[in-house]
Amino acid sequence: MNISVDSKGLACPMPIIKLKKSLAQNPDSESVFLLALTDLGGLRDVPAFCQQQRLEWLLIKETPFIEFKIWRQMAE
Amino acid sequence: MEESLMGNHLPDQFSLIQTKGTLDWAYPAFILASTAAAMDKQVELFFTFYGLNCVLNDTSGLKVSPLGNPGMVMKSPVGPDWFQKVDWNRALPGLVWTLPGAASLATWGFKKQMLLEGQVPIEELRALCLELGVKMTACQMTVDLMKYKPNDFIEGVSFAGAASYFAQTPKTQSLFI
Repeated sequence: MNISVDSKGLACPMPIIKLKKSLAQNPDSESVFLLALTDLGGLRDVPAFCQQQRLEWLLIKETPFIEFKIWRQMAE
Repeated sequence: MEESLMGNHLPDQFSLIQTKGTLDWAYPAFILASTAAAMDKQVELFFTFYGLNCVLNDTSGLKVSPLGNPGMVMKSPVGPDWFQKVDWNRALPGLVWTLPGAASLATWGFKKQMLLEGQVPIEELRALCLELGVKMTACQMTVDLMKYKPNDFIEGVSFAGAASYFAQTPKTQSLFI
């Protein structure tokens, strides 16, 4: 299931907070999160957050806004 | 030291002692705390002396002033482009900031600028911290010293002293703000 997380226009730390909240609300492993943001710091911060939280991520686009696709790692 | 370099023991706790009670000192504490909590760290904020301002129900005491604050960049959030580029803290003599209303004007500008840049109001940010499980403690000694009452503080704040802070916080990380 695709879940949109819109944090466009919001600065650090809100994109991470909104992503975290959405992750908590959608605990199933099938969920795919589409995080939209305009905070340029997110280009580094979102991957850092994902790595620390054991999430997979893919940068979909950088313009006109940044969009990441984020999903949970498969259990080994 | 070697352990931390090897990355085997990433700290899972974050703690911070907040002694400053101005708006520009409140933001970094809550930004760091909310982010750390979102990354599943156990976060402990200890508010003491003027830092108590950050956890009062009434946030009108949280201000900024260029007075005695030479590092502060003060640009207008409104007006023509050239006007917004001027750093008024550098352009004007310090004496100007002693005029009545200067701190209110600076605070208004700071708040407006923060919102324009996509920040959320400080009340919202600290509420988010609590929602994310950040633990906030007000220093009992300074609460008494400044004659605050328990119900002056936002819900979720507990009261204790320095010994409790050290007992609850890690050896690894303690910033002093």
